[in-house]
Amino acid sequence: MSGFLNDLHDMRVGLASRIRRWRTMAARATPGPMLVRGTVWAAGAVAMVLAYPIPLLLDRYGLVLLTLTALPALAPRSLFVTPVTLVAVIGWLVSTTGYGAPPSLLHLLGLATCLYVVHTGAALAAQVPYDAIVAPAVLVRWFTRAGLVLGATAALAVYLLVLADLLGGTGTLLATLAGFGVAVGLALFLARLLRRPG
Amino acid sequence: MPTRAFGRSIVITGLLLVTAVVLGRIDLVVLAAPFALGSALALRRRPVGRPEVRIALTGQLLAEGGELAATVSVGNQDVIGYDLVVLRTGISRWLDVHHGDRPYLAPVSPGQIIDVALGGQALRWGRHAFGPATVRAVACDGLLVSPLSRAPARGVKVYPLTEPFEAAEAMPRAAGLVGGHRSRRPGEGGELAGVRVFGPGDRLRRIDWRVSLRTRQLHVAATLSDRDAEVVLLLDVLREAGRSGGVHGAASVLDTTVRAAAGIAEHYLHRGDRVAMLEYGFRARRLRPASGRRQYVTALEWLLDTRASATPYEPTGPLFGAHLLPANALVVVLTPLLDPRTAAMLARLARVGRFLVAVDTLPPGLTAPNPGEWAAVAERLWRLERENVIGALREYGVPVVAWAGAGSLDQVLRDVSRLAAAPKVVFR
Repeated sequence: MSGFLNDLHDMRVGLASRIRRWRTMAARATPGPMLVRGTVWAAGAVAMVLAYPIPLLLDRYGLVLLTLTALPALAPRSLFVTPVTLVAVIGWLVSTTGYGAPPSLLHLLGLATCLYVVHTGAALAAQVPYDAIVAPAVLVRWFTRAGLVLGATAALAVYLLVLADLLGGTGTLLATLAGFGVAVGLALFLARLLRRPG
Repeated sequence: MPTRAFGRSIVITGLLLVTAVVLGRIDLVVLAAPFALGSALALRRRPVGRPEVRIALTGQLLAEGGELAATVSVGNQDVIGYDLVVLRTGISRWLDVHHGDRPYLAPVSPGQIIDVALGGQALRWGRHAFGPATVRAVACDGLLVSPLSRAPARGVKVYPLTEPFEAAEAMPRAAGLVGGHRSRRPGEGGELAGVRVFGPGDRLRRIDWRVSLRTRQLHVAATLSDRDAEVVLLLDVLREAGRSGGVHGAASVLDTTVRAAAGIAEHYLHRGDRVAMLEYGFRARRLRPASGRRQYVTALEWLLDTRASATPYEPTGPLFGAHLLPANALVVVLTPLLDPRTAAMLARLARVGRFLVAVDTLPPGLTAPNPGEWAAVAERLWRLERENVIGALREYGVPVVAWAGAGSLDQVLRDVSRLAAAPKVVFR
């Protein structure tokens, strides 16, 4: 019995210590890192809204999905970012196949933008301590580069979708060939990078 | 080194493309495109060198409460810029540097050096460390991070803030050669001792012509020699008590001891006397007697290394003893009288005839470290016992006075000087 009480006491002390630590972290947090993490959270939430059909979001699953989007913002160095991204992609597949919603270009680009912002924002948040003093140039340059990547993605998306429309029924074949080509090209590129020193 | 984001970009790109191929979905290729394009664009040029970091301190002489300024520089000698560098600096708790405990982030272009200016205040005397500083660089949109680069810590010397001390009384026995104290020995000086007949060796400028004309025999004005004196500051470092709050907070025993020692040394060295210092503790450090401004600076440097050095043994033998204290020196013992060995040491020194003054450096209002049911009673008993020890020392001829800055030793030094003039029996 005394062992159980000792364990309870240790738990109480540990919990109090954690609460004190969280309060210290909240007091020391600076605007720059909080802005980055807030962006990750917001992009994740918007991605879920774009990916999943509205009836599903208005159900109880919506709250779970929106809560999941907080994980990459709270723990950007963890493994949560990849599963949350894949959950959004699954939602997109469910929305476009199960619910039969036609994928519009804007919808698709919006989702791609949000997923990439979650990825690159988490990559930045993983390197920025919560209490750091961040030079504004860091954030400006980072998200400017992300904007360039998304601009190129938009151009590619327009090209691929227009091409798919023009080719009609051969869209599936086009997707297969395009995906295979990109995958092979990326693999070759990464292999070359790993061999090259700089 | 690749980061978790690097692996994530590969995994997500691969999964999306494979799924696109299997399901024949062109939209999944669009979703994978920013991950693939972003990684390819980021990784096309990678830096290979580590960032360099260096700490520079400005200003030389720093006293408690003084302003400290430092610059931490981070450089990029690579041809590829860093997206950002994360700079952290470890700083001693006694150096209050504004935002010194926070990491700093900034981008660094190729060939660029960025300077982070840090400033603050030195809170307590001693040797403190500014640094080490560590920096790591992040490149390729967070996909790669460099190993840590490190700059070693720089030492900061913070001299004690001397509490103003003035003692107008004569030294008990000024036995040096030349100084500012009156002595009773005849010699060259400013104090007139009388007029006597001219003798061989007397200086012509000392001839008193008025008396000589009246008595028709040469007479000279005899003077008492001005001599310097030696002051030995004996620091009791067996125990430390009280929590130091730095220059703006409460003083611990060591704080009071060091500041008082610096103030007393400054006063007597300014008057031309010789000052020596000695530690009563495990290390038994000693500063040889000397005079002048150089000795004052040396004494301050010596005081920086003062720290509590408890020992279960009695510091005796060649390390410490009455043989280190000249017979004519004034010995000022700075002690909190927490250790019974200190009282015994004081009694021994008084018995062999040393001119002693004990300065009580225990902070007023010191409370027991572990408050409990019997703590108040135990503390009261302890204080009564300490009062008994102080009373016994006074009866033995060792004056004990609490440190209170300027004038706190005047009465005691006057009594010591009076006692020095009287004949006394000593045990040898």
